[in-house]
Amino acid sequence: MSKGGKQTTSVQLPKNIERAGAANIQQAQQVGRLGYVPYYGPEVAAMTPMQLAAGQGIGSAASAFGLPGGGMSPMQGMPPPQTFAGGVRGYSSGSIFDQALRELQQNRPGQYSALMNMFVNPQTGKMPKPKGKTKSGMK
Amino acid sequence: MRLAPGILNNIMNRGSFRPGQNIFNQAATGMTQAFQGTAGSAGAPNIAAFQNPYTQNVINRTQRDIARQQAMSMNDLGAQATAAGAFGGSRHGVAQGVMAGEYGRMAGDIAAQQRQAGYQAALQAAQQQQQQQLAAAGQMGSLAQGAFGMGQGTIGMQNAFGSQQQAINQAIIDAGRQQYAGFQNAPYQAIGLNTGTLAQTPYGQTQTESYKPGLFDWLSLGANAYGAYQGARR
Repeated sequence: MSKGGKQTTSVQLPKNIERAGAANIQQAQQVGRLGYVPYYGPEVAAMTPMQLAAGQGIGSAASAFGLPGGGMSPMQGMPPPQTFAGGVRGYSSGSIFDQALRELQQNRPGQYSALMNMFVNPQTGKMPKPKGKTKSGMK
Repeated sequence: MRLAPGILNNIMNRGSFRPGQNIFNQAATGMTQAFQGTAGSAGAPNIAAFQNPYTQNVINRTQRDIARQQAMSMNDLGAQATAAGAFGGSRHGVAQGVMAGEYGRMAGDIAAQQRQAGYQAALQAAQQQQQQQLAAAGQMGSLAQGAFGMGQGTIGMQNAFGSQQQAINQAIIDAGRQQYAGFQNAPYQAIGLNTGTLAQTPYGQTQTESYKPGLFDWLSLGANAYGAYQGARR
């Protein structure tokens, strides 16, 4: 029994509002477990045939005057472009992203697992278990 | 005028510039010929190439004419000496010697003059050829530079047009990425919509207050009750 008195104030929300808030929180938790969604489409447009022709012309000029690089192809040192929908030719960083993840998994497997276990399994779609309970009691 | 071998012949043969050939190769060839022509014109003039091959024939003919004239003069001298009854004498001999010497000097002078004239003409022609070769080399260099510039300009146009095409492709790619970003952000936008809707929805609240008295509250109640009782008794 406390020496002084105790005053308690509580606020009750309407049931529909309370249910909507809880559903919103649950949805937010689900979305939070999606993780990073990478982009595998094109990001940089490739050189067009006209630009490649200009490059060949530059090589011809170098060759005519005995300069180095005369016999080089304009695509030498450049990665081959991919062809995407509609015939758009370009480059994607998706493969570089995947390679970086593989190297992270190879060099720092523990850290990689800790990161990946926070989010949905990108292959199976299995959601990770959330930590603790929310005030709404939702898991 | 004879054409010396070298750059002028190349120009005349039009072997340097041909339509349809790689313009840079042609420019390089033209520049090389310009270098060669300039270097060639810097040397000593090729006088021998411009010497008249018939000069000696002319000299020989002139010498023969002088010799014939000398012979005729000798005959006249002999006739005069005969008429004077001194043919074969010492004076005749001296006169013949003087005449031969004079004719010899004349022949030598004429030959030297003819050779000198021939040399001067050949020198002038050779120097003129050098000047023409130098001018032709300069023009060849200008043409080569112009050819290179045309090639360079064509490449520039190709590159510029290709860059425009690439920019269009990049715009298509960017539009596709933007659509994908919309797909990626859709879940977050849905949450934001729900949250915003909740925040905008008016709703009433029920507030309940409760009080739980403590020890002091009871003691105070007791003291107040006692005080009220005492007051009532008086």
